[in-house]
Amino acid sequence: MIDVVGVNHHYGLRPVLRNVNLRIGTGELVSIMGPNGSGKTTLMQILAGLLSPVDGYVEIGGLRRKRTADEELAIRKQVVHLPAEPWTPRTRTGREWLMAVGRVYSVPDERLMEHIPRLLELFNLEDQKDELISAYSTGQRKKIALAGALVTEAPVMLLDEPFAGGLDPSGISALKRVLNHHRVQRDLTVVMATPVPELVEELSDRIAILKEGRVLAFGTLDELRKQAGSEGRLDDVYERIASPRSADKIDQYFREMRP
Amino acid sequence: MRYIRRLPRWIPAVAIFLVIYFATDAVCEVALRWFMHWTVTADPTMTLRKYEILHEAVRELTLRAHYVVLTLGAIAYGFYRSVKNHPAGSPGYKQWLKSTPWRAGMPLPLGPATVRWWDGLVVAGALALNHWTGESPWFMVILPCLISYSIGSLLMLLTVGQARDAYAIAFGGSLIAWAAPHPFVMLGVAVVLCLIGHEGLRKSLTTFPWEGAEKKKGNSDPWPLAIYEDVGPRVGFGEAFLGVALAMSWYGALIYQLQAKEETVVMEAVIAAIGVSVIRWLVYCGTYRPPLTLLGRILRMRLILPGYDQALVIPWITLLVGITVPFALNEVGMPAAVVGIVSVGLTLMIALTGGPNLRVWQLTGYHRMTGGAAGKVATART
Repeated sequence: MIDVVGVNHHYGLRPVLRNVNLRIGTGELVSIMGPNGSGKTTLMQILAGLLSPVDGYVEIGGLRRKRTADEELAIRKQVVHLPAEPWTPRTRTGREWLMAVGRVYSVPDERLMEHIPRLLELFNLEDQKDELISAYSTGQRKKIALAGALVTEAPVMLLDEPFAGGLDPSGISALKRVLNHHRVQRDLTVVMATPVPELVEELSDRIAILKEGRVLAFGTLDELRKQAGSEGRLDDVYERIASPRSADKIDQYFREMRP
Repeated sequence: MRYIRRLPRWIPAVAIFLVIYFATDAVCEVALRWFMHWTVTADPTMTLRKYEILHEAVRELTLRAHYVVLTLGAIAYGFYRSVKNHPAGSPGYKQWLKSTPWRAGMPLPLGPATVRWWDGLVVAGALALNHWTGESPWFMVILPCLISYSIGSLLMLLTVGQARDAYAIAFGGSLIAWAAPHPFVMLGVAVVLCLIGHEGLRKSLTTFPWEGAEKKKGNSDPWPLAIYEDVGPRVGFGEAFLGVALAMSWYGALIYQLQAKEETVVMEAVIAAIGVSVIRWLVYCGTYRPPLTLLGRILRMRLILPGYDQALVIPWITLLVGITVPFALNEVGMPAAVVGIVSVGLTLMIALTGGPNLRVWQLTGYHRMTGGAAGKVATART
C-alpha cells in the first residue's frame, strides 16, 4: 500500500506539485500520465525518497518516508526505483552488475545465480552478459537496468518511463508480461510514469492524470471515461481531461497553414 | 576479443602495462641504433667504440624510460584506488545508491573504496619489476603511488565535506615538500597521509549520502529568499588562519627547496602585497563606487567620506605591512623562508579578516552601485 498525502513541492518559487493525494493498493499497477512539466518525475522522485516534499508525506507499507532512519531503510528494501535515464556502471559486465544490485537488496546468492540467467535470457542479453556495459547499445543498457530492477524482487516498483529509452519490441513485450505476471502472482505494486496511452490502457488498474502539479483524475479507465464524458479510448479520454483544447489547436494549425 | 573481455579485468590491465613497460626497451634500442646508423664511420675501431658507447646509452635510456613508465603507473594506480569506487567520485553511482537499501558496513556494489590487502600485492609487484629490470630507487616507485592516493582521497574528502581530514592531507603534503630530498622522512609523511586518507574515506561511507556537503555546495535559498541569508563574515578568523597557514606552508617549502635568495623573497613579498591589496580593493569597490568623485570631494571640502572610505583602509594597511615587514625582517637577518612566510602570511591575514566584512559592506556601505555582472547580482540580492 502506498499513500501519498497532501504532497506539495516547488523548485524555487515555481510550484511543481500541489496537494497531491493518492492511495495505491498492494498488487495494483497505477500509471501516471500528464503533459510535459506536469510533475510526474518529481512525484516519482518523492515516492522514491530522492526528493523530500516541501509539504505532505509518503507512506509505503504503513511506514513513512524519511521519518526515522530505520523506517527509511525498511522502505528502501521494499522499493526499487528506475528513473527515466537509469545509471549503470560502464566498467562492469551485465552479470556482475545484476549480482551487485541483488546483493545490495540482500537477495541470497543462490537465488541470484538462478534468477540472473533467466532475466538475461528474457531480455535477449545472454550474448552480452560478460561484456562491459560500456559496450552495450542504448536499448541494451535500458534492458540491463530493467533487469536490475527486477532482480531485486522488491515488492514495490517505481518505474519512470520504463518503455522509453530505446527498448525494442521484444523488450517491451517481455516487460509487459513480467509486470502482468508479478502483479498477479506476487502482489507486485507498480507505479509507472509513461506517456504511451496504449500501454497504459493495456497494463494499468488505475490511472492518475497530472496537470500543472494537480491530480485532475485518478481512477480506472471506466471511471475516467465517466469523468471525461467519453466512451472512447484512453488517448481521447486523456485529451478531454488534460488538454481539452488540443484538438482545436490542431485544427487551427492546419487551417492557418498555407498549402 | 570476446575471450579477453571474459577475463578478470586486472589481467588485461597488468598485461597492457607490462607490454608498455617492456616495449620501452625495444623503442630505446631501435631509436639509438637508428641514430648510430647515421653516425657510423669507415674506421672499424671507431665503430666498435661507438657500439660500446651505444650499449651504455641504451641501458641509460631504458632505465630512464622504465622509471617514467613505472612512476606514471604508480601515480595512476594510487589515484584510481582512492577515486574509482567511491560513490562521491561518480554522481550517477551516488544517486543510484541513494535509492537503494545500501548502508555503511555493507560491501559497496562496485568494489571497496578503501585500500585492501591486494593493493599491497600490486605495490610489491611494481617493486619486484623495478628490482629486476628498472633499478630505480625503490622509494621512487612507492612515493608517487602514496602521494597520488593521498591527493585522490583529499578530493573525495572535500566532495563529501570532511574538511578536517582534507586539510590534514593538504598540510601534510607541504611537509613532504619540506622534507625533500630525504626519502625516508618523505615516505614516512606520505604513509601517514595515506592512513589519514584511508580512514577518512572509510569514515565518509558512514555519513553517506553527505546531505550536509550538498546543501553547502548548492544555493539552498534561491532568489529572492537569499536576501534572508545571514550577514556574518564569509571567511571567519579561524578559517582564514588555517587557509593562510596551509598556503604559507607550501610557499615556505617552495622557497626552501628552490633556495631562493633573501632579496628575491623580499621582492616576491612586496609584489604579493600589491596584488593582494588590489584584489581586496577590486572585490569591495569594483562595482561599489564612491558616491562622490575625487573632484567632488575637493570642491565640497569633504575629503574623507567615512561611510565609503572604510573599505579603503584594509587595502592600504595591507600594502603598508606587505612592503615594510619583509624589508624589516631582512634587515634583522631572518632566513628567506621566514621572511616570505611571515610577510605574505600577514598580508593575506589582514586582507582576509580585516573589516568590514563583504556582506556588511554591500548592505551598509555609503556607495554607489554600478553595472557589471557582479554588480547586477549584488544589486538584485540586496
